[in-house]
Amino acid sequence: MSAAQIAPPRPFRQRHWRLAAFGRDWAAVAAALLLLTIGGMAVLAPLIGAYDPYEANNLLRFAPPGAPGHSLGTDQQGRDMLARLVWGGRVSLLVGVVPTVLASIIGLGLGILAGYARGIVDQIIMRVLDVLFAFPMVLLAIAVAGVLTPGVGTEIVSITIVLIPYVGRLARTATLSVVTMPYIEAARAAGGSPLAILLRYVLPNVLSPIVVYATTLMGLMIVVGSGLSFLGLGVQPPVADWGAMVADGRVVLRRAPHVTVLPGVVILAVSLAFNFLGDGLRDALDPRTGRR
Amino acid sequence: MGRFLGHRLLGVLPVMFGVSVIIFILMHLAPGDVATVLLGPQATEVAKTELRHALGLDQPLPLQYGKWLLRTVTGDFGTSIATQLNVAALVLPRFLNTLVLTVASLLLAIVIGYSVGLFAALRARSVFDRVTITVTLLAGSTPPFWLGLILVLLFAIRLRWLPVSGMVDMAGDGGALDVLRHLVLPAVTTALGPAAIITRMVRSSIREALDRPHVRVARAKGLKRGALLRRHVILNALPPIITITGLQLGYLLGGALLTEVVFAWPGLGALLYDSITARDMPVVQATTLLIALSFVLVNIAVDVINVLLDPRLREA
Amino acid sequence: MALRAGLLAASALAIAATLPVSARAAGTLIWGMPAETDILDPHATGGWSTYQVTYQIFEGLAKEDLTKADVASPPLVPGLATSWDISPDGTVYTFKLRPGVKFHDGTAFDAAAVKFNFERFWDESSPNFYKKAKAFVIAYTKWIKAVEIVDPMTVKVTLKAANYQWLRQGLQSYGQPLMVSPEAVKKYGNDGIALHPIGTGPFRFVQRDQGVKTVIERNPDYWGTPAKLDRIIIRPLQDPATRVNALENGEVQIISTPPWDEIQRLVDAGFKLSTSPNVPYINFIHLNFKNPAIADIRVRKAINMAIDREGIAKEIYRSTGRAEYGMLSPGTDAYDPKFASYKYDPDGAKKLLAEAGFANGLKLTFELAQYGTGEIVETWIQRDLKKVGIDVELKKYEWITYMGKWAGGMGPDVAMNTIGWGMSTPAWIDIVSRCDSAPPGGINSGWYCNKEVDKLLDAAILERDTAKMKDIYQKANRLIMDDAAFVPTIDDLQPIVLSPKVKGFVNPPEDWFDLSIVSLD
Repeated sequence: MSAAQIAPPRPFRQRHWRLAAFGRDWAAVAAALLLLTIGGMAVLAPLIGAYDPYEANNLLRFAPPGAPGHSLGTDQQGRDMLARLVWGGRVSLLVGVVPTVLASIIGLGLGILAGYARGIVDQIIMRVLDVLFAFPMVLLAIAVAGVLTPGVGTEIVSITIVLIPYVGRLARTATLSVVTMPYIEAARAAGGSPLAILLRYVLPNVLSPIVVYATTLMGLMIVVGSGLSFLGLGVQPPVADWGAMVADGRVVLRRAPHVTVLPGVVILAVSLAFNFLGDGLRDALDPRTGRR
Repeated sequence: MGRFLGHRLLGVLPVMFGVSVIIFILMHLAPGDVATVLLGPQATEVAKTELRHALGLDQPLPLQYGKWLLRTVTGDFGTSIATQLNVAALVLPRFLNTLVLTVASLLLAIVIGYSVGLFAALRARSVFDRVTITVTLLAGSTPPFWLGLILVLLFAIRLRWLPVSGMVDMAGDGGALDVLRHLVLPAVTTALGPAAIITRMVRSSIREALDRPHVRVARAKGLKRGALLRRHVILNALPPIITITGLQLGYLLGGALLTEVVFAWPGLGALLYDSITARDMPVVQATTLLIALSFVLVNIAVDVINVLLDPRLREA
Repeated sequence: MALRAGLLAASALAIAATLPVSARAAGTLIWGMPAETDILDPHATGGWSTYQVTYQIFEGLAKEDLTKADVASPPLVPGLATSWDISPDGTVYTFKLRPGVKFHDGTAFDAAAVKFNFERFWDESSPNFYKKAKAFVIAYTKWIKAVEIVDPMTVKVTLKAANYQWLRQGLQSYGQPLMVSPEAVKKYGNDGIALHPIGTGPFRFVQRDQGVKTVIERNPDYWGTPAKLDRIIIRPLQDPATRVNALENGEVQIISTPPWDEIQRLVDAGFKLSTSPNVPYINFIHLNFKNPAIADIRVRKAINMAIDREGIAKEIYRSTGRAEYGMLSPGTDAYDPKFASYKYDPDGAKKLLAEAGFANGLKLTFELAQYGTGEIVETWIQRDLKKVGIDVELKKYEWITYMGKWAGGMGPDVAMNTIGWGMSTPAWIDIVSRCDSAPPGGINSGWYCNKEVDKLLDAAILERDTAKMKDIYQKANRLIMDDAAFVPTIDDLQPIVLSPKVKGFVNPPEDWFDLSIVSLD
């Protein structure tokens, strides 16, 4: 969530994917498996689970975890917590993944353009990004989400805007470190068109750090997105993502802590998993920066 | 050094200008009519039109912005539309409250981060080191608003050691000790994430510095650890640590918003949230600018400290 | 210093454990309110949360007696006027003013002060005129033709036409013609009253820390029975969980709008629950006559029949709500608790929908404001409607945006929106249901229009006799519900939870309370 948490890593040059190295990283593999499981459950939510996440059952309010038929209990309206967590994942994961992908694409484009073109183009792009960068992240997201109609679309737009300068800066730095390489000079001298050089030499080199960075960002955006939902700026009822579930549970914190605790634990686990996955990818892509 | 600083400070102006333009446009894109809100549902159209005129909301956008800019440059932040209070008088006390929370959180994060990070670095691969890594990973991924609720549940509701919310006792102003009691939970909530990041950065920077050849040589020569750290390690490890610490301060300034909401802490975050939802443009502008300015200035301060530590960076 | 603060914070856990929860002055009541009062100028403000404070500071010529809970509506009693006389044609009000009353700043209350106040909120030609005040007090001032001083203690107000609800209309939220110190207006300016609220009431203003607290204290020179409490601190605690926690930890003694699910637990823990059976507002849904589906009366009836109001009252409101079948608010003289319209009948609703050609389902849009309660009532309604084949899309807006949409009237793509509103005068029904109340003339958000209803409402305000007046309003209510123009849903019984130390609190048929009769053990 913080600026530093998403401070771009130092760019590195592309190495070949080392799947074997990734496979040996048990934490990354476990993280990938966890994310696949949760993602799969979210995608397949309509097909699995015995309960409708929106159907209230007034006789079964505040059932604690382990209650018969409701392994994770029920909330204040008697809705099955497991079903709500699974369905909530559809929104939470969407809000974590989509803006990061969008921002990565836009940021990548802007960063490469700035880094390759240099000069006035670079100046303009970077000053605009500076302005966005000057907003503390949560603030900008809230400003955007606060003035647009609350909803998933708004949440995605606001998080995307917030992320662009971070990805943009990293892409520019990575581009700068590549364009001075002798082989690029050579390609230029040989009369390669700028577009061809960008696509052929620059993009592949810039892509890997962005992919690694984006993976870590996804975990953080799960947290940021849930924060926006917590404030009521995100998804609208009766749909609830994990952040909105925490907010819902807050009123009954004393009486039924599990309504608040469970979605928080899931957010934590998913965010953590994205972090491990990001670390694993980085190690696999660039062994020099491997964990020690 | 002076030129470097001057150059950086000059760069603040266009950024602030951009920030204010963005906020201005965003607020005007927002649906909802201030006049309806201020005058209530029974107000006549005539009254609403008059109010919009009185507030200058019927003028073309660039003109409205220009007028606002002129006033702001002369130090007049205007009057809050919703509360009729002077904006500066409304925003400054809130800013101080946010600062109290921010500084307390930062100190907490620094104390935890520096000591645990250093300790872990010196005992690489020990149990302590591994536990530290795990805990910092967990802490870095914890949603702060959720953590706040969990802490409230444990320490305020179950154990009743600490107050649930607010900055002072409900009955009035309980003095410094009272503020301190109220500060504990929000500060811990806000500090945890940054503390985790600082810990990891301190740990890795110190270890990198310990690995450098001249340190190894010095160690081989039998230099005592205290002296070794002071002379060779700390200084080398410092720039990234300072950078990351400064960035955390920036984060805390703005991002404490969620903590402020959870704990009903009367800071800028809550004010901003309220004034955005009330379309109280003068307050939104002043609050955002203040936060953005603090953020930018902290970033500059970090750069300056780093340049002082390592003048080579000035060229970068 | 900084370092010391850090160390102190680390050891604060230990300190906290040894301190009493709080030490406070005797006779100070702390009240956790769900919303911040906007500004304390009674002429220029809207919300009920504001009048909960201004009622203690300011008084009008007539006032509502809020010391009785078991009445249909608050009795209209003399306030700063000891009596008033209404001319036979109903257009001239002669007020005898209360002698010996002083504003909190020492200014004498007399006919000149009354005239000054009317100039402020009504007379556009006066130098004392305040535009914003007129915009708010409009429901009262739009009837006024002239205001004259008869003698230093007598004021005569002439109306443009007879309206026997006029005095009551001046005591509703959205602008009250309460008496403000003329000296204070001169000293602080029209805008300045918001920050320097000076009236004649049993409490006087002490301090305001926007968003944190408002403090008022007993007015020792009050003309009537002095307040029992020394001081009241009003704390806006927007988050319901915070209010409950503060109450349980002994930090506040009264909370309004407790979370429904927590009420029983609080009562079991020894706190007192106070409810009012006659709150002057109801929750209801505007149905949009511009929407093609809703234009069909069978659809409107079906919606009314599909909603399990009793279930909502029991399961969500936890019996602090009451199913409502008509559009007249309790808390008015015209309310009839036995009024019945559409009973819960999902099968009947399905049948009606099938007849209307929607046997295979219908999609409708429902706009609502974001209250921070999780919108559980609306999601319940959404589920009920789903059961009869209506797919409802909830569109939630934050309050300001919603206000604009609601007050501006619905576009044809929207089927319904909802609000909780009302007044202690039945004339409120005019604002939401008359043909000429269609926006922007009023807040008939669903563009309902029935000339017969209008005729009845015209006659109602001309009726001086309460029993006959009630009869006319009941007829109008019947017509409106025959048209199924709205969906009245649930009354909130205004639950208030109090510490057992609080004595004498009365939950009257009004949105605000008289705190001068409250004391603390």
